[in-house]
Amino acid sequence: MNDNDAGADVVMTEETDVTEITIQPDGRVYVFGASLGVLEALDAINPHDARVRAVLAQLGRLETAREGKAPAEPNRVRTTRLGGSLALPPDDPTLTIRVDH
Amino acid sequence: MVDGQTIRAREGAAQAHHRCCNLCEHRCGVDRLAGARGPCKAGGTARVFRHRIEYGEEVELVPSHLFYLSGCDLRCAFCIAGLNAFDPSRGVELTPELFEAAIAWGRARGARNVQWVGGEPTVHLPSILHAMSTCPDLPPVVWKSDFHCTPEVFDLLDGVVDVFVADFKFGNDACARRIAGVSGYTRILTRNLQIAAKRSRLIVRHLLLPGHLDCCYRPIARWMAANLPDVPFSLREGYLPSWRSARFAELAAPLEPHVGREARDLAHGLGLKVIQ
Repeated sequence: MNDNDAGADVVMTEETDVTEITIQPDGRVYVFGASLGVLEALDAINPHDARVRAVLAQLGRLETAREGKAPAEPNRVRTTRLGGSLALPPDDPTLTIRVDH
Repeated sequence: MVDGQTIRAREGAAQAHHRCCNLCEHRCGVDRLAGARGPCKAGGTARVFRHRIEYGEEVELVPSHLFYLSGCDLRCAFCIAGLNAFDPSRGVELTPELFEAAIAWGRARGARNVQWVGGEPTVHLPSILHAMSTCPDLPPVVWKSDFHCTPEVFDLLDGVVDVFVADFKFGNDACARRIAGVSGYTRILTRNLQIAAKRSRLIVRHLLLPGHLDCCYRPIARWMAANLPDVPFSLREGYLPSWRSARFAELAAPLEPHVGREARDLAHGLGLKVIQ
């Protein structure tokens, strides 16, 4: 069994790659089983969601630590799983994303 | 983190509960290996009905590799996992081989920890210890629980768990009995929270329930402020009707937005350490 197979073999139901998103009529969005891609998409739709922004910032810190880079590089841009770009302006801690399909 | 040998020794003690189960406060005492079943209906085998990398947990935990085990000692009408949580025959058997392969899978995808969830992991403690006992490079362990366990469970988990995530669901016994079918809830929960806070890092989570701001949330927030003010408090506002919540009029609709704001204001007013 290789790494790529392990998850699929373990899963009983086919839910590992499933994110359930519920949108209320008033615009509230409920997400169960959030993936990184879904979080990035949610942040693109509503960049004012503090919780989503906090999770993405945490993931950015972890990635920075793994790569051994100095944190918060000005205007650092990386490719996201959605194929878009993730920009970190030097004077604004807000994490913004532009998704280009 | 304890080594595999220590976990194996704990496993031996935990296995005794398969013969006379006192892992949760139902204290049914049944011989699960002989086929008897208590309120959780669990036998001697733990089963995983889902595992995945999650990003929706508390920020300090993500990305977290969650293992969902079927079987639970409570019967919360609003359970998001529904029948997967309550039917312990669902899923595939948790074995050391399966666990080790899954951990490698999760690590390759950036998981920072392994998190046991349910259902309720406590009812499968012997199997969980068995699965972890031979795993090389075991990641930090997060134990997400309803905290309806006996104090013996904390002895078995001492040094094994890095972070406890406790679901403090109800602020009074009447609501717990009515919605989750459990007695003596608040005494058990508050006792266990005090124990866990002394043993390991603890995060207390509360899912705001519609119609339960005054009867459940406010007592919980006040208790936290009086007893565990420095323990991180995770206030969850994402309630959606699930499972059998329609049986309870107040639980049949999502939370109204102003309730979340009120709850946060109260938490901050009480000085709780609210986390994302």
